[in-house]
Amino acid sequence: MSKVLNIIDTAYRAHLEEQDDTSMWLIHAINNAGVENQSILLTGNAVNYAVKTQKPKALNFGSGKIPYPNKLHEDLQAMSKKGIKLFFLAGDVKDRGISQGDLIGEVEGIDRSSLADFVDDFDHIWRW
Amino acid sequence: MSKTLNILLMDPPYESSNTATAFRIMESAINKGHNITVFAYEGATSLTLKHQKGHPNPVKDTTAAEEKHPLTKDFVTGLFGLAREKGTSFRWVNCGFCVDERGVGEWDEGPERGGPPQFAEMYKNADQTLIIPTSR
Repeated sequence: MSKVLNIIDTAYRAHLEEQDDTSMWLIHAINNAGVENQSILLTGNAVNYAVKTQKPKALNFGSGKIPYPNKLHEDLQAMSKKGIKLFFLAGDVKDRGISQGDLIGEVEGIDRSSLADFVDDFDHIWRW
Repeated sequence: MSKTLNILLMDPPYESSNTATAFRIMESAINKGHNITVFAYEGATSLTLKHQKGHPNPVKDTTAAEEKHPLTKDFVTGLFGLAREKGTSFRWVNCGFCVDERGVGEWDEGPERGGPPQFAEMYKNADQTLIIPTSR
């Protein structure tokens, strides 16, 4: 089956009110529907999704509630268990003062210098 | 030989030039005899909402009749018609979860309701899939 690389660059897009990152949700859902051989490359601010110490709190706007804000690193770990491979752009992590030790163990760093060869290994590139 | 292009759209109407660009790609592909499948995700499910209507333009001092404000539902209807005329296939699937959370479930004939399994099927049956996300 064809290999799909999902590049997630836009971070925190409606994730509070959806209680999910909308791109990761769909990637996970279609994996469950039989689209296997998917990978995710986190770039830009989305590299923060892999930080393992995230503790989002519930929000209330008067009587309106966001009771279950998603824990993005846990969503990534759940996808990893389903066989979705996880990568991050190493320079984007370093630029944000994040160390590899801050990240979940399921993600693998890719250097910008090897990005072209890395991307070339996939049949489909979906940039979110 | 005709091919099938699968497109995922995410932007709501009147927010981004992504929408017009996507419709241009669809029209161009249909005119060249290719088949199109569209998965409208998140805000893009409002593109086909039946209750869209034009309005006057007070800046230009035009009435609604004079302004003839473009409606995205008409673009979609137009692409269905163009595909019929050209003998190609055009399929538009609105994400049902996205429809429900927005209350935009009424549309004219053509679009259908679906979800991730339909998008998975469309991907598998297409020659290529183009993701056009909301970028910020």
